[in-house]
Amino acid sequence: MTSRLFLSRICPYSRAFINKPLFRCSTTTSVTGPITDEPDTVPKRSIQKFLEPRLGVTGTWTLGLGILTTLISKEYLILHAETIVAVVDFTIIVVLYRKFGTPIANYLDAQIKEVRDLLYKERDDRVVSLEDKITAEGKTEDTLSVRHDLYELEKETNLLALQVEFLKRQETVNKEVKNRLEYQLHLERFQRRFEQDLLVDWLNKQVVSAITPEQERTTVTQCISTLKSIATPV
Amino acid sequence: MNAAYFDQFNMKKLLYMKTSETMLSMSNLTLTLLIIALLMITINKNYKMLPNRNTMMTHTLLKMTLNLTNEHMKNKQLTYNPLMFTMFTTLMTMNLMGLLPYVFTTTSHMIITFSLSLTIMMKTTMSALMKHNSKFLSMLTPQSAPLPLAPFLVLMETTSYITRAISLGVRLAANMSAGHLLLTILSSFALNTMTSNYYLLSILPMTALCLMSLLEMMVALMQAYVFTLLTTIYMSDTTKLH
Repeated sequence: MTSRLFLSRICPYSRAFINKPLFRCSTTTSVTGPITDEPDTVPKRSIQKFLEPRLGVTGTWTLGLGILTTLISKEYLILHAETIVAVVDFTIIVVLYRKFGTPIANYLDAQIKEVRDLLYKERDDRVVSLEDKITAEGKTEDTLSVRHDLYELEKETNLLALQVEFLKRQETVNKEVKNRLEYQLHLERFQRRFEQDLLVDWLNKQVVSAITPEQERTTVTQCISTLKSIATPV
Repeated sequence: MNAAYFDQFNMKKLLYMKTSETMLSMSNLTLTLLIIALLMITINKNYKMLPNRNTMMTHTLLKMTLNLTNEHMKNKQLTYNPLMFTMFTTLMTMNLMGLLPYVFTTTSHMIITFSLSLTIMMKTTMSALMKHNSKFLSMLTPQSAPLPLAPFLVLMETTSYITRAISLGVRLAANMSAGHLLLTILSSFALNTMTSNYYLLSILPMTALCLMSLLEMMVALMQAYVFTLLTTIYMSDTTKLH
């Protein structure tokens, strides 16, 4: 907005391109109609705007006619056959412009619109296809984000499996160690018992060999007497 | 008095430089041609992809010449279309510019129209000879012509072929010069009646002048189109033979 105002101030010809009314109606005057944005015929507007405050409403026309009369009287502008041709040509051009200008302009604008629509359609189709690709990429990314969860799950599963394996192996090791220790224990026990048995046997043997026939006879007689004492009824 | 009507076609030296052997000069014809060349360069210059009205007008003319070349030279339309388009737009610009007041009409001079037409005929003949060699001469005998009449027909066709070059140039120059002459006569008549006692009678020559000016604008466009059309036909005749 600011740049358009600035442009309209520095270059009067730009007013043709800026959609802005030239006059603003005052609240003190009674205005019934809307402010219309008339197309800017540049030279006429600029010259009129410059001269009207100084010369009045008819000032422009008077100045123009005066200049024309001066040129003709001083023979700068010579009126001869070619001048009439100039007037006639100018009139014909204006009439043709007024009559055929708008239809030709509309036809050309329609052609321009066709070309622009085609170009914009191609651009818009390309934009739509790119947007679709972006959406598809997003969906693919969402789909692929599951792989992180799968990875974590797989990791946990593997950790558990490793743990189980570890426990199994630990149990095996325990068993084996226990077996070995038991073996050692059995071995020791056996050795002790064997030693005990040997010792007992030797002791028995020594005791038996130390017993004389007289001692044996005495012991047997004593045993018989004891038995007899026991065997008697009370 | 009568000679004054032809003053508009006089070539005048504007700037000249006299050397020992020759005189180098720039005439009103040269100036007009330079202006037309500048105009052609500046009007049709558009580097933007999105067209504006001027570009679309050029596109319309381009499509028109493309249809023309497509109709007569189906296989070579893309080769010859730039030439036809350039020729048409240049001639149209020259003719229409000549209608403006105080502007020199370049195409009313044979030097311009003959140089175009003779160059075109030379080009078509040479390219036909290079393409068809001696079979090019079969163009001088119309198809399905009776054999006893062949010698006379060949003579007539040769004359007709030679006069093509002349007629192409003369047609344009004659139309332009005749039209401008008529406009000058009518305008001087209108001025004479305006400055006389019976000034109201000037309405009739003025009306006639308006209608004639309008007609001359149409003739200017048509002559450019006819020149281009005939060039296309002559080129297609020599490339296709029969």
